Amino acid sequence: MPEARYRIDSLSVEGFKAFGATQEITLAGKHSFLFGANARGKSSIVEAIRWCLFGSERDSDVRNRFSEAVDCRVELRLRDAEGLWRLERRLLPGQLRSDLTIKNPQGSEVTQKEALLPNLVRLGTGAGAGAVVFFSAQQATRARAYGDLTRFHEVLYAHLNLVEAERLRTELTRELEEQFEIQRQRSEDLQSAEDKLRVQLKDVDARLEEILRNPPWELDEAPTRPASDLRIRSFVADLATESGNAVDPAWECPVALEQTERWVSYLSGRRAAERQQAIASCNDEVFRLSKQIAEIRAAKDREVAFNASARDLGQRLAELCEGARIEEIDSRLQAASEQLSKEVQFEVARNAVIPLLRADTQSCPICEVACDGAELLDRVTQRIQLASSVHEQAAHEVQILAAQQKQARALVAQKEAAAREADIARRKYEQLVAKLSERGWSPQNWEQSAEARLAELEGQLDALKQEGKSASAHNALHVQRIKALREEWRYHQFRDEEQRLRYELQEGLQPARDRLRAMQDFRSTVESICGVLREEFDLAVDRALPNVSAQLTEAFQRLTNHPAFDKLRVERAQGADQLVVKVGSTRAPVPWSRPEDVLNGGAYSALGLIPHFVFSGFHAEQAKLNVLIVDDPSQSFDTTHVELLLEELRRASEHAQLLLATHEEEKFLPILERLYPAGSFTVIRVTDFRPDRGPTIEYG
Amino acid sequence: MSTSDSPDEIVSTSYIFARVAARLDADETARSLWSKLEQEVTAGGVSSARSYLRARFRELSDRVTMALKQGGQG
Repeated sequence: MPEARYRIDSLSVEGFKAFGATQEITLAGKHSFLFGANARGKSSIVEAIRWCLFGSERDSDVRNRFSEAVDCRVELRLRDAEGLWRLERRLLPGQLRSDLTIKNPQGSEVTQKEALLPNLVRLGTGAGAGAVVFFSAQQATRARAYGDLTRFHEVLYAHLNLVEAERLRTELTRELEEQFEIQRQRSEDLQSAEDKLRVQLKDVDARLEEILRNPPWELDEAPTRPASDLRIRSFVADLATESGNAVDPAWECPVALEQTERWVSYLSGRRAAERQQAIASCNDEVFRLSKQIAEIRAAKDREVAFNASARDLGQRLAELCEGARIEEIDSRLQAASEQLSKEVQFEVARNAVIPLLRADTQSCPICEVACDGAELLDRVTQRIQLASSVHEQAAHEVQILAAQQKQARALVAQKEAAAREADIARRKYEQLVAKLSERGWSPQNWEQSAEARLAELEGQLDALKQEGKSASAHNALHVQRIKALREEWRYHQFRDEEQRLRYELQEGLQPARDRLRAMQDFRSTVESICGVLREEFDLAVDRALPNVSAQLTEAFQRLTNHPAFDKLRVERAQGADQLVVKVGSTRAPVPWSRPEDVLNGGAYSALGLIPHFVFSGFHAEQAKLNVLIVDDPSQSFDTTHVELLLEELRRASEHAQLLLATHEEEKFLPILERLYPAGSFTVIRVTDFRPDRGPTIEYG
Repeated sequence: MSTSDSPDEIVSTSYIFARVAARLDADETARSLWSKLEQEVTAGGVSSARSYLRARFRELSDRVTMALKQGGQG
């Protein structure tokens, strides 16, 4: 039988499933038959080997429930020509993942690859250095690996030594799928960059077209850039001279135009301010001179008016006094008053003599002239009558004269006041006129001089306003010129931008296009390789399938001797299961069917084992570790088929080291002893189980 | 079943790889890349070959991105 490099020599188990304390199990590199009643720990030994080699998706599930505080550890010892290789898988308390360490016979830690056990976990057979280890676990155990036909293709590919080819095919396909999206993204990036440039180019072309529709230059055709440069610099130089500034030769045209715009603005502002100041000054003088003229004229008018008033009052006074002077009026009034005073005395006398006018009066009490009372009375009465008449006249005259005097005096006062006002007005007039003489004007013809000055000022104001209008127009021309030159320069800038964008679109993006093409070419190459690999893989599988089907059928017939369905065929399939096993019949024209639809439980279980029996021989001479571990295979077999099963196991064990576990020692051992030469196998019995220790193991 | 029944002669990864190499022989680019992939598989397994491919794709993609950054600035 082809010998694999390694044989399982022994194992040490601690804290794993049924194992509590550390125990040793020795296989001594031989086929081993493990007997014991159910629930004694047989499966824990089988599972310990598998866990040590492959680990588990849920390592924490394998920990012994009675001793979780200790390490969960399995050490598997493989023997080759050099000695013992130790594979130790350990799950420390509290950890969820186990670690595998491998030590060579010298005790040095080595990698799995260095131990020539690559792809051990995946049951791989890469480059002829793999390990063929497979299990048929108890059907009740969810950890069974190949007890059924799901993902049959993985089993077949593994045993046909196609795992790497299949994986490479799958990985290349996946990578191409992933890269497709990335490549599409890069294509879109390139397209986006091109679109962006085209949009910018379109915008620039539109701007150029807009400029050319209404060109800022007065030439027949667009100026060249040097011509525009010369035009702009010439204009800037002129403006510099006009504004008293200097041109920096280092200025670029836009900078020079910007500077020129500042000069124009400053110059325009300064001149406008000067004009405004001159206008204000003129206006101020016009105002002041006009005011002076008005004041002089007002003073003159006032003098004239008061003089007229005085004359009028004099005339009225003369009329009132009838040509007399006021002193004469006064004398008349004094005389009349005196007359009136005499008459008053008479009146007093009259009143005084009244009491004297009695009958016994003999003489005048005043003049003592002898006369009787009656006579006196007559005389007095006559006198009084005469005196009263004079008195009335005198009183009337005094009244008239007094009124005349009062009126005359009022007129005199008014006339004197008018004369004073006229004098004041005259003096003010003279002062104002004298002030004008400060301008060099003579007092006699100040009015002509003032009018002439006012006219002159009005002329200046008109000139300043006209100058302002001219300056604004001049400034507007400069501004317009600057704007035109700036637009002319923008034309060249847009032309430059247009050329740059066209270059970027055509030449700048060319490396990106070339590199994208390189990426596409690389992808095409990978696709080509992947296609060839896929074709060759399919061809290889197609070539293998008839032989595989025939060998499966042969083993199936030997093992089951099924009365109806005795033929197996492996077919391609879509989906996760790339290959499926169908059953047919040589005895009746029945369609190819799914095994689970037509086979009974025993035949179906046998079908689950058959691939391992068949495949264990494939590449057996290349395997480094070829182990067939079967846990309780008779569970679904009736007794008549056990012998056939063990015969198949014997065939398979020609290539592999067999580890068979069963609780049916009485049924199996006699057959095994007949099939295997004495000394070629080890019998291990699990006789008891203690929770703190685990299975009790005996040999022989 | 004897080993002479083994379909090694027509089915194996090495056989398929050899067939692929033979078919790609005329295409220098594909042959060179396949040779590299084979080397990667031999040295580090299939995952190594895929990593190599991914790195090449990434390099090519990065080169496109770099060229886009350098050119077509707009």
